[in-house]
Amino acid sequence: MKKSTLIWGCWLVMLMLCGAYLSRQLPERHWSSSITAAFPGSDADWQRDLVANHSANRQIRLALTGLPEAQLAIVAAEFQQQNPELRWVTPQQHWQQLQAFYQRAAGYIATTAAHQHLAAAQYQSLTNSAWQQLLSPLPLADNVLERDPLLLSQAAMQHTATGLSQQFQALTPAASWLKGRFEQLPFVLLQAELAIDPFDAELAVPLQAKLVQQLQLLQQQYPELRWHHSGLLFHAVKAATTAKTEMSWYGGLSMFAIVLLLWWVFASGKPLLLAVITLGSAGLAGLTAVVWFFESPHLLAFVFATTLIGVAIDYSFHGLLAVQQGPVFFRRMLPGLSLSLLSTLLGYTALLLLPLTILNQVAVFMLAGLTAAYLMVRFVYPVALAPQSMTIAASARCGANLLVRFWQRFNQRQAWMLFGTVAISSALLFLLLVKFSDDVRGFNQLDPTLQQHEQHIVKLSGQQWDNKFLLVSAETAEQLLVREGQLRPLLQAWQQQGLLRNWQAVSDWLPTIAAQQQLQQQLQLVYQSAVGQQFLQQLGVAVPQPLAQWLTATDLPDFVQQQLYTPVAGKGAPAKVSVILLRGSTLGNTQLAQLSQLGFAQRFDPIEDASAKVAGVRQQLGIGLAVAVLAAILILVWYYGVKRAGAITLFLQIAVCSALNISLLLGQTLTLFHLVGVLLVVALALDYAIFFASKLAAAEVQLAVGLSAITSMLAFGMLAFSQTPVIAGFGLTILVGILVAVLTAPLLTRIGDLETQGE
Amino acid sequence: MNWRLGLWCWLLASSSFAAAASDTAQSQQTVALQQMAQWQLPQGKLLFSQQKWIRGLQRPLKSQGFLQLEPQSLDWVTEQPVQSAVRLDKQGVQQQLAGTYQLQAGTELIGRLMLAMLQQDQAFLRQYFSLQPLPEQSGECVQLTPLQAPLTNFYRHIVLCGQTSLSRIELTELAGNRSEILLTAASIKAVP
Repeated sequence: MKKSTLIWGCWLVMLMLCGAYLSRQLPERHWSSSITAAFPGSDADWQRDLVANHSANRQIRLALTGLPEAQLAIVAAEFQQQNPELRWVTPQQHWQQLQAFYQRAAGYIATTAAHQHLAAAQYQSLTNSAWQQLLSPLPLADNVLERDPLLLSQAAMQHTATGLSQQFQALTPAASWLKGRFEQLPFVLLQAELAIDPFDAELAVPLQAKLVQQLQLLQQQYPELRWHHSGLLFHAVKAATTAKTEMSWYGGLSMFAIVLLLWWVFASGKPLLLAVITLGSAGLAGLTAVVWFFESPHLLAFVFATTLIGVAIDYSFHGLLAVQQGPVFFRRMLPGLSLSLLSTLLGYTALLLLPLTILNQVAVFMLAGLTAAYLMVRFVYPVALAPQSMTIAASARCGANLLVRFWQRFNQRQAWMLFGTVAISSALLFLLLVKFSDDVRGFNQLDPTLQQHEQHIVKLSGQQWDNKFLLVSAETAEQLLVREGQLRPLLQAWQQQGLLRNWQAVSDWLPTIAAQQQLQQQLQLVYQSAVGQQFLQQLGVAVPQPLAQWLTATDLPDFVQQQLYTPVAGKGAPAKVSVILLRGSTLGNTQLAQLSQLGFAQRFDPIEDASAKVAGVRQQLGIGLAVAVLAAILILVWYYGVKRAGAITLFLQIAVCSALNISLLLGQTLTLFHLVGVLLVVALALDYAIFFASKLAAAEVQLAVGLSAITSMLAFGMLAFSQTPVIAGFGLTILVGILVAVLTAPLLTRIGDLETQGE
Repeated sequence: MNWRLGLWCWLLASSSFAAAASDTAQSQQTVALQQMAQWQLPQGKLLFSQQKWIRGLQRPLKSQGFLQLEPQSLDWVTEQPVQSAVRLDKQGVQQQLAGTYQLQAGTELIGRLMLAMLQQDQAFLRQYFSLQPLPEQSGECVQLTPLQAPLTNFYRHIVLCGQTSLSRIELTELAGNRSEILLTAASIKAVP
């Protein structure tokens, strides 16, 4: 069998295996689009799960207006019927659940005031209060007198419901929605819970499209109809759609630019075909590796991974040009290519060590993709392309020569001077301007229309629960309630100090079993007393029997049960957790210190938590980057000697500082993702430096490096226009970094014992 | 008669019946409102006596007291068998506890309802109830059946009766409890 047939055969088998694996696995994978969902695992994984499962994340709200109240009711009912897959949260359901709970809770709950009266044996005031309730014109709940003739549970429920109703003060409940008036116009407010994860783009995108389409159809029917919506679903879908569009748009454009470039340089279909096969193979290998290692591939990871195109095409250009020069030249090129792959893989391996899923996926994609591209260039190119079979465009050669000649005017001393001066000045400027931010709110540009929708819904529905809450941990459900009770005086104190408007805790609804038992004993004492006997006689009811089955969490209404959480057993995860919802909280360090003194409670702010995690990841990436660069420099010292390695270090520093300085001068604040860009700039700049330091003609190296840099800049330059600030920052960093690197890399040939040939 | 003619007759009859039923409901509502409009508007202090039949109790609970009606609020003061006071207004129902009124959650509509019944706020009553005259009961009575939540969660129906002024209110709760409130005319300061 011929060698070329064998190599092509092996290559084809590999591609087919990847294709078969992907066709089997891809339909089963759910693509994620949440930045925060991709954040690192830590001791507090259960907190992240809690936030992910928190019902607020799955809630959507829809306000309909513009029509008379009766027509709004028709439209709202029609919309609810059209979407049975949504779990509609209705006032009627709340009412029924409250009724059911109240029936169950009769005799088990009482207000603090009633407890005090019971403890002080002030039975007369209890019976007086019961008479007041019995004789007032307010309706009485059904069937509770037998178990709770003093109506202590009714008073307790009214007390609890007061806090609950504050949430919807301006709204009137109808059966299936809330209604109200805003600027004299009636509106209805529908609320639903999603059965799907809003970050699961596969399911969320069609659902959102369906909802919007139905609303548009209803608007055709009722032209005056206006609507506003809110919910994570709409933001997540917008982010996913933008990421997908950008990925295909930028990927497509950069591919197109590469095709044009290849056609211009080689004027032949064969290199074009080889480059496309290289990119395709690299992409296929990268995707296969990601799907192999990760259950839920992240869309943003693939936006970052479009960088593969830039690096892989770099190898392709070097391979194509070297093959043209014949086997000897190709063999001379290989050490540089291998060293370049080694240094780039080292850089991406640093990403793999970081606890950030997106970056892990980028790393896996790039490691597999670049290895595939390297193997293709090394083994397939020599058998696929005969030497001297193509003509290189004279203009391309001319451009490369011009740049090389420009730098050749500098002698070694001048080159050092230039590197030194620019390196110091760019470093000083960087130190002057540098400003990092880890606030995740700045990572994503919220869509202004969606923001308006959100703000309008908040205006209509009043103040909601805060996005931060308290978490109470315990070993058992009973201990959880006890601990919430221990926390209560602190909450009351904060309320009095104006640091907290109100809160909702599970223990507001559910007393501990010990407290329920005590209440029963105290009630029996009331019934046996003279006051109690007289009251029961006047009412004509028998003495209630002591209750034996206690009220538990399963009796609570759904919306309270959702505040209880049983984390998956793991490192640092408590057995039981309850969430205390806060409204209007402005807790400072003193209050947080008071919380931590308790030892079982903490304030949890998902945004603050995510930002802290990002800050941690940024530090780790910084360390990883430093280690990777240090490792690469050590390899260079070993391979090239101290002097040239020093020059390459200065060259890298200039490229990196320039890239970051431009971002800073344009008003951007540096983020984790700028650092990811830096990592790639280092990888690409090292590539260029290694090739210029190799035993190849500088003009040949410049041609390949220049061509690959142009393609990379086209790809990354477009990312700089992304709507997502982090992607834009990432793109701009790489764009500027590569530009500076490609323009200054030939100066490296003027340093040390020159191995490269000037012309 | 062939089937087409039969179908045509059935459709005609159904639509006529539907139209007639709608007309009847409309005319009953008009009659009920006219009847209520004849009652003189009460103002100031009214004496009341209430009998409340609560499910599970063998005999009704009786109470007496007075209502102090103001344009924006109603004080419901029970004097017998225990002293208690409740204020009803558009905010809801406020129970007097230890000398201060405390608003009870979720009672906005009940507060507005009581005021609307006594002040004959026809717009409110039409919005939340279907109204029907009940001439067979003693005196001229109007039955109010709630149309929408949350009132449908509390009341099965309400009956208002009177000759020249509102003299009896009967509240039948969904839970089966029933209250009969008699307003004594002697204290009503009539407004012409």
